[in-house]
Amino acid sequence: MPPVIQLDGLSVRFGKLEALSGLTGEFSAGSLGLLGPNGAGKTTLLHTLLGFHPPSAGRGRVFGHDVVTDSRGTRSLIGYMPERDSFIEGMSAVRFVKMLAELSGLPSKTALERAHEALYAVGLGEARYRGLETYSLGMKQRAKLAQAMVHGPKLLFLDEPTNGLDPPARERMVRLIRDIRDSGHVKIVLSSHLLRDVEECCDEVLILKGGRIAYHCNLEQERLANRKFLQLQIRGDVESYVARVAELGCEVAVDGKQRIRLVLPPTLEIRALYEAAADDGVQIRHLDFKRDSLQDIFLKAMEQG
Amino acid sequence: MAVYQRSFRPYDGVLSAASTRFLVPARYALQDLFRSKLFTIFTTLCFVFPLLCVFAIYLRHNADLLANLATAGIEFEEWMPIDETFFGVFMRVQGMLAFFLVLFSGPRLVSRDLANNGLALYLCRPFSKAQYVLGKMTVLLLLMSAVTWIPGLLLWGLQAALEGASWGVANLRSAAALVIGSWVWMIVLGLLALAISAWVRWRPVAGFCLLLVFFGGIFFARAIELLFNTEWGYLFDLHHTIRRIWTDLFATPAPFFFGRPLDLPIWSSWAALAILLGLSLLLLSRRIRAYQVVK
Repeated sequence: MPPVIQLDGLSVRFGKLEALSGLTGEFSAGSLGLLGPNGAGKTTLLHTLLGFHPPSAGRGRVFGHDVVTDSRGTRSLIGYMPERDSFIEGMSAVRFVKMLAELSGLPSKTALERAHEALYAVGLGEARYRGLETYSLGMKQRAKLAQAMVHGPKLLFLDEPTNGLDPPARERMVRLIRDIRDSGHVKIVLSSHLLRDVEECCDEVLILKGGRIAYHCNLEQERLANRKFLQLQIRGDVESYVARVAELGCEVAVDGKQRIRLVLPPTLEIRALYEAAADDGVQIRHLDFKRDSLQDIFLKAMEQG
Repeated sequence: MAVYQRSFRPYDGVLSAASTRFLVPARYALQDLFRSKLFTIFTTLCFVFPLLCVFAIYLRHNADLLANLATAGIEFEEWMPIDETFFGVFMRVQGMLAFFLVLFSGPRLVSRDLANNGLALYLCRPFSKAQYVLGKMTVLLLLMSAVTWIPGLLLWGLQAALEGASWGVANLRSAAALVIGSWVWMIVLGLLALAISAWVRWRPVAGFCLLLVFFGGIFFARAIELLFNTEWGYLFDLHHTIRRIWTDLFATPAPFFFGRPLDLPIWSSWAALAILLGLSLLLLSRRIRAYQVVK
């Protein structure tokens, strides 16, 4: 099974501006989050994979299809929800989604059936005969999602799907994306500058900065790994306690006067730390999992990249 | 499972042939156009002149009526001969109506997709820019065909059937001129309308620009003639250019402009149209893209 997305030194230039610079990597997660500040190249990467921009160097593949030489084949696998307002005025939602399904190759009758389904699935069932220009921003976002999924693609590109949404609408959109992801039938690439959206919807994160890959990680593995990172506030003989936990196999660092950070070895339970403290007459006043949030990861990537 | 209970579903069914998908936007656009009563009425009115022509051909072959008219001193056969001039006039009238059909329908075809960034939704699918333009052109070509060469050929066929095979053979050039002249006009008008509406998103302005290209050229040409004492400026006048080509195709006398026929060679009219076509295609290729370049 080829990776969902494969980048091999992919670069894109607009005149003198290098929008993407030598991106390399393979991404196979069920849902990949594209993070980065504005202008980092997230949308450009999606557009390049859709064949809108020709790469100036390197190559990209989607499910093994080259995005340049087999652009049509690539696009037949993808459903795209653009960032900006995108609709055709004077059309009802169901007609709009049906037409786009037909453009993807579905026969007219099937397209109509699936347009109804898609609009129900995104919560626009009752409003599906209304003109798109009468929709609120949140409804337009959901109509865009419906047109992206109507033809049952293998991969969904969602570009800033929660842009401009109020908190309840955002919550609803995130829930929809998670539902689609959990159906297991489709891979998702979610581009956003909102960390929370990516954290809630994605398994893997690719952080872009200035057109380059600043960081790439598997969020689930990161979360699992971080469960073993602890931060302790203690009172008593710090040096002796540090030596004691080091003997237990922990990697320890003193982080301030009475504060230490440590990494537990896989076989060691937290209970052992309390027992060691009791033996040394040290009080553990506070114990916390020092979990790197996505925000920490993002900030580090921004500093390093 | 009820429709409202369904969520994301993959699709593994049959797909339509990629080569015929340009007909999808064409079908939807035609449906939208004929929702307008005004447009439907105008399109219907475009068939009035061809019906009058049918009537004229009928009269021309009604022996009793011709005899009655002759006793009244009216020589109908001389007054209205069914020849290349008859079809040339038909071409001019219907060509002008085709222009107004395009004026009504052309600007809305592309501009409404561009107005709300709808092009990305077409082009992110297995659907190319060429297919998009072809789809939109199909709408205009169908509409214009319905009022130009199709009724023209039917009239020619009717006349040939009533007059006899010898008339058909003698006037074969008229039939060819009807088809070639119509197609040249349809392609030029269609591409020009699409190019203008791709660049001018506001429909009324796009319509005005199309009017300006068609009717404004004469003022420009006249200004050049007065300033530089040359007729070459008339090549910028689309109206003159297409009429010159039609008269050449039908082998009728060259059209009069400001009381005299122009002396421009026919190749220059063809060249002017070719340049206009190239320009329209260039404008379209620069504007029909999935994303907008923000400068």
